[in-house]
Amino acid sequence: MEHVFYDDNYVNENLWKEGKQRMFNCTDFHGNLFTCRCRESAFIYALTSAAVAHSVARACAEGSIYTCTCDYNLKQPDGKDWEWGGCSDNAKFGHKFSRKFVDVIEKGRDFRYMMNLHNNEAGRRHVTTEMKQECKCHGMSGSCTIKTCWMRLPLFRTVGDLLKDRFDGASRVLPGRRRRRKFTLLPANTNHKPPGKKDLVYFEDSPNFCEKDTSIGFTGTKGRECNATSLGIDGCDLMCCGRGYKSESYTVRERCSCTFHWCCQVKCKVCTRTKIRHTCL
Amino acid sequence: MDEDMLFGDLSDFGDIDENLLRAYLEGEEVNPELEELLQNYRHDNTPVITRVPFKELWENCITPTLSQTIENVIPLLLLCFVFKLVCSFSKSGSDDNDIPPWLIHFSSLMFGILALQLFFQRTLIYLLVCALVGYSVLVITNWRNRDYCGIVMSLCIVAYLIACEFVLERTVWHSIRGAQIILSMKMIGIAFDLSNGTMIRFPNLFEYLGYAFCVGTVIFGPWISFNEYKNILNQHKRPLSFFWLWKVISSLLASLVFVVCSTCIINWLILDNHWKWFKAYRSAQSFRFSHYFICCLSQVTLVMSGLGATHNNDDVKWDMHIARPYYIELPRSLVEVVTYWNLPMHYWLKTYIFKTTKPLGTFAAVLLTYVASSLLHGLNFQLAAVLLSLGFYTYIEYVFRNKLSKIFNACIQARSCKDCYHEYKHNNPYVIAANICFGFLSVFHLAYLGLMFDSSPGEESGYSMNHTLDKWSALDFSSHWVALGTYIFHLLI
Repeated sequence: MEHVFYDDNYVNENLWKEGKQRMFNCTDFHGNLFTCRCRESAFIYALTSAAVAHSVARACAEGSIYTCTCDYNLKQPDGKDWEWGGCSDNAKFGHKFSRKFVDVIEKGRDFRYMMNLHNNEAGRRHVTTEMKQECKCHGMSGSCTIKTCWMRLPLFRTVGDLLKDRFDGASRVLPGRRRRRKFTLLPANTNHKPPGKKDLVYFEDSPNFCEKDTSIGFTGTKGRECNATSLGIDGCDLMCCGRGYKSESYTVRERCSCTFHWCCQVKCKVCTRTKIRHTCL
Repeated sequence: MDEDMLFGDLSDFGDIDENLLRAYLEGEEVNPELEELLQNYRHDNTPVITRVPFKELWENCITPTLSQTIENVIPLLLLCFVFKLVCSFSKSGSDDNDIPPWLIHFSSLMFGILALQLFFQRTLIYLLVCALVGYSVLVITNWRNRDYCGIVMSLCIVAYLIACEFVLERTVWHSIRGAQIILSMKMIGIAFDLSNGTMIRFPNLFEYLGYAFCVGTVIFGPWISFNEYKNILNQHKRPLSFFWLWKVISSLLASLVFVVCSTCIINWLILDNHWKWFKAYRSAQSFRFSHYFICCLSQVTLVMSGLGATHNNDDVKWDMHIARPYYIELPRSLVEVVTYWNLPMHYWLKTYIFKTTKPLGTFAAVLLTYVASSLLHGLNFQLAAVLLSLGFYTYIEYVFRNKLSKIFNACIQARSCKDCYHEYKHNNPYVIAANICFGFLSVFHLAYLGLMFDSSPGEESGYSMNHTLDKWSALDFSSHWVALGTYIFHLLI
């Protein structure tokens, strides 16, 4: 289980990275965003399950989990275009493990659980499809008579970045027909394509994250630091939701005009600067 | 607000001296200020490149590489071995000839086609067509005028190669190119042997096809002469022995070590964030090791099928070497690298191209040899660029070091002198130092030349011209400039 604890760090680290510039600041949550059905929760679901899959696969590869199945006997059907013949199962094992471990929480049969499962799967798929196959040719004078290939797990950072792109392009869905125990997910905008396996989906529009929302354990943007000159989401206008902000100046003593002297000295002056901090009201 | 507070106390210098820096780096002293400073220097978004643990490398790269290689090679080795057993039944020269020679040649052809089928499937038809066209060229020129046999054959082969280059899909062509080179070399070799009278008896179709598709050489090479090939009829003189087995096993092990180094170890040792010249060296070395792998493997198939031995009275010596990695990794000169890169090919180029073109002058002959060699490789800008550069480099190196060795009366030519008449022999410290410096120069040139065989996505279909030029311009074409500089220096002294 220690590997899964280690995931938590993974997720937190990434959420922190992704959320820094956004209004939902991860440190402001206390774990209840899982109950919302919005875009942000889709991201968290996907990222969590991706992180579990990734870290288990990685632990398998490092040899610290002994229960991973490693099937080397994957037969290659064709002589030349053989597939990966190594321990491909690390990723598969991670995928399966994450499916069991993360999806098990979603026991219900309603639409929301289907959506969560979809997002979980989307997260994991990013891990498995980002597995990089690297090949090398061997032959007389650089020709390609035989080829050897191996697989490489993606960096989790890459997965996080991809998921963030999916977050930006996530589509809102409505429950479609019920097929046996499953719902189909229909795009809310009928002009859109139905969501793919790797797309993130959500049902509710995001709360504006402006006010304190106890139902999702969000403390609001009050007191958050913002950037007065930015027009983006980290700018004070958007971040403080029009409530305005207060500015205070403070002084810091910091090193400045550092120069490097050969060799090996760094000479700096210490300047006392006045800086201005803006915080949302 | 106080003016001083705003612009800082200018008299207050914070000096961080070397000792402090070292103490910090060695983790002896935690200095929060310094840490903060270093943090400021650190870029935020550079991807972290770390060396993966060896266990992971083993599992994700070494094991699959080994298993894939072995899986591909085992059938070929079995074919070679069975072929040797078949050949052992023939007792040429004695009265009780169990199997007629034509049948042996025919079985050589059949085993060869089986091997080709294993590696190239239907594409093998292009090789077959090439061989048959070649035989008709041989027959026709032999009937009209034997003297032009070699030249006509060479032209036909070049035309065929160029046609293939345009007709075939690039990936397909790139995969059979290696086998095609070996085949072309065999055909041109036979043609020149016929035209200059080395070979008197015209080979019949079975002999010819058996030679062209001999299972021990058809996939990975090496090139062998027709005379060496005929030893398949003398297999009773080359029985299975300990030395034979030892040669097979040692070459096979060496080839596996080389393939693992080439695909996994070298890329593991030198990481992406190292200096660009280290990375160039890495790509080049990975390519070289891949080449050694192929050479060792070709040695295994050759010996496995009972060829590549020398006879010393009744003693059979399995002492065939295709490449000499040692002389290439720690080179004395580029001239030696080129020689030891592929010994049979070197012999072939020397015998059939260099000696034929020698009357045109040494420089022209050297150049034409490299042109021929790059034509053999097809219309590939990258290979042509590397080979022609090598042609110039080796020529410059050869003349330059010759001149130097005369001036200093020292043993510092491109090839180590056999009976050295110089005053300063090869064990003189200055001579050693000079040769080591030239060795480094060769390593530098090699890193530069081999840099673009870097397993990037274009590898399977052959690299483009832009790829080559991009790679070289990233290193500012420095090796070409150095070579030019050397040449000018040579002219001045």
